[in-house]
Amino acid sequence: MKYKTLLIALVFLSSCAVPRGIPTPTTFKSNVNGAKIYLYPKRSSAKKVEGEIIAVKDSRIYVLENEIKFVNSNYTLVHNLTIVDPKAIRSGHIVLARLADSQFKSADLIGLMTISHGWFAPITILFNIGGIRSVKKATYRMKIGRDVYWNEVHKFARFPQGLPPGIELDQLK
Amino acid sequence: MKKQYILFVFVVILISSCLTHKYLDHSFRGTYEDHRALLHIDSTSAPFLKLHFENGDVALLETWDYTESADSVRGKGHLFDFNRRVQKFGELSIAVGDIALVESNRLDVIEDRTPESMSQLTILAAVDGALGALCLAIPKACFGSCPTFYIKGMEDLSQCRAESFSEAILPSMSSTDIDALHYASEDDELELVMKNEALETHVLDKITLMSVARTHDERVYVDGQDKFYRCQNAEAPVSALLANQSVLNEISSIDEQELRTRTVADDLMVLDTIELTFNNHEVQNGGLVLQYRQTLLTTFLFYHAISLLGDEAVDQMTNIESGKVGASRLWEPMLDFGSIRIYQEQEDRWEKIGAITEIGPIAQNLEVVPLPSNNDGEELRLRLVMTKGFWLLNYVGLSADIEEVQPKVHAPSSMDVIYGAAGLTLDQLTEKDESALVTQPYDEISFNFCLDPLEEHHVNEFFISATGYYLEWIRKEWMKEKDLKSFYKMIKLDKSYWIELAKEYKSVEAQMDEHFWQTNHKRPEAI
Repeated sequence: MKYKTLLIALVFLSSCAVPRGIPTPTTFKSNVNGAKIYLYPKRSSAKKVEGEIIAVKDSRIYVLENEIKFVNSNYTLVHNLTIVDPKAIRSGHIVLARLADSQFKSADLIGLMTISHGWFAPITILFNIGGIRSVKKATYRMKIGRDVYWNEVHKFARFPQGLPPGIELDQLK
Repeated sequence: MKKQYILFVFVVILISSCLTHKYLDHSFRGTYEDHRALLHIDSTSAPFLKLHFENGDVALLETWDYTESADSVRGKGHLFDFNRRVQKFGELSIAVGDIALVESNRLDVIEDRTPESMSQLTILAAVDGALGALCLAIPKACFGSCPTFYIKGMEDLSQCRAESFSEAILPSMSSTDIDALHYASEDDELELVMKNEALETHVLDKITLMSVARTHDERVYVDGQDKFYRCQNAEAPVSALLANQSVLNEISSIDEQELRTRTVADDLMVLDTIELTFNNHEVQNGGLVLQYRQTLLTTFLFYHAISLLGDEAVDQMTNIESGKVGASRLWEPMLDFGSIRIYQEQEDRWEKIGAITEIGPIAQNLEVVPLPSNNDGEELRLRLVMTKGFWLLNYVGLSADIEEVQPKVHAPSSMDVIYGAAGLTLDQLTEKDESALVTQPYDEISFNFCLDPLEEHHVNEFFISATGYYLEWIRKEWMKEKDLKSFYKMIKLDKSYWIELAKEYKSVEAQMDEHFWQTNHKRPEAI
């Protein structure tokens, strides 16, 4: 029983790890949010920035990071606006959309099929998870500095025209 | 143990992540601050127009129409507020004065790649079942290979030029392997095809082409320490004896003839000794050139070891990954058992001067072993000592005046996925922090290399350097023989156990080759 639970958990984990908040190729055309950006700082002690590009102002990138926090006995989605100086960033990329619309259910099904392998499953699950994840995590993206330069990042923001006047930043979500 | 198990699973997950992305150039998105840009956009070919307002709202128009005289954009769509909540939908009319920025996208660049990803998943789900049947007859003779390399246009399995990092069966055993491609050319570019032809996941960290310019009369070889030597044409021995029988015909030229010996029925440890004599002229800086590959005994032993581990193969792999068990514990006994040892006669003594341990039954390996001392004009006598039935020897020759040279190293200039997963890109090989290029069964990728111009009457001799490892897919048929005690007896080279193993191998040895080559995993439409 424990063994089956572990397998189910692993299959489930492999699904959970798919990047969230990223449109599929079909929903990309009607997506009105900013693209998701991943920024890796030069200082190893600084944390990675990951979230929606809100706007670019005075050469700073405004990124809305979503974090699930345990607040008042409940898990709550907390929105943090992080302002990033590109000079402090070592590398980064912008994720636009997933590579395929409908691979997810099939991928999960194949993952679940692993459970039916019985005692053979501990071996096959390793390879199935690897293969499934490589499919599920595949995205259309741009590498900053090569596919898109810093002065073009604003085009992929929620507000490509710049931060709208009169909006309180803590109202953003 | 469970902790390590999970850790290993996560290692595999990490390795497999972020591997199949498709990179786009930013130019697919156009943004215009002047609404008159709309005049230059064809509304029928650019649906889903976004009109951004100063206050942060955005209108998304699925269909739209604009004429300069009308001072407005009309269309059908949605109006969203700054937090992208829908404010209105249906017919919208937007005054051009309210528009802060117009955004249009070339939607054809973001196409749905479900069919490609489904084919990848289908392979995962179906390949074991579809091809497993072929392996039922002799499960331990199923085709297996590491990444195989071919010159573009010469892609039959018999023309395989190299197989890389054969001993790297786990992430912790990732290694760099340099192999001769047996190919020289005057061209200023070279296209190589890399294939995954086995039930394996191949993880390629880096690939480079190495070239050394030479004249038509010269040859270039690499040794076991990855040093390159430019040599004169090698000379065959005047005598080659195996158990007092001449084997000169088999080993005196590079051709399709190979010297093959068979194992002994109850002992896999029996050795063959080949006595070589080279002409009695002076040899300065000499090198022994060998072309060889392994028989399928290695394949049999590898698959057998995994089958003995049964459902604990993962635990063992985890132990290796976590450093609890040295990776060498798996391979070293067999490497020693499976090496070609080279001896030189020096004043009535036989001195060991080198050994060859390159693994792989598919591609021919071409290597040089530099001789440690000059020959002063007497006959040069060498001995090759190797396990019976373990090697296929194609050529042995002696080259004089070998000169160490530095190869030119070429990174691939471009890459094309001939068959396989979407999103495989060259960046996965060239960027240190972006993991690796992962291929599944049937995948084929071509790498293009640009080369420097050559001097007149010169050609480039080529070598491939590949870094990575592979994960063997476990076949159901292997799982019926779990026997951990036997596994440890096997890796400790327990004599009584190896007698049993010898008998099992002997019973299938004659059919191994035919079966191995028949179970090569060509992709469905290529069969």
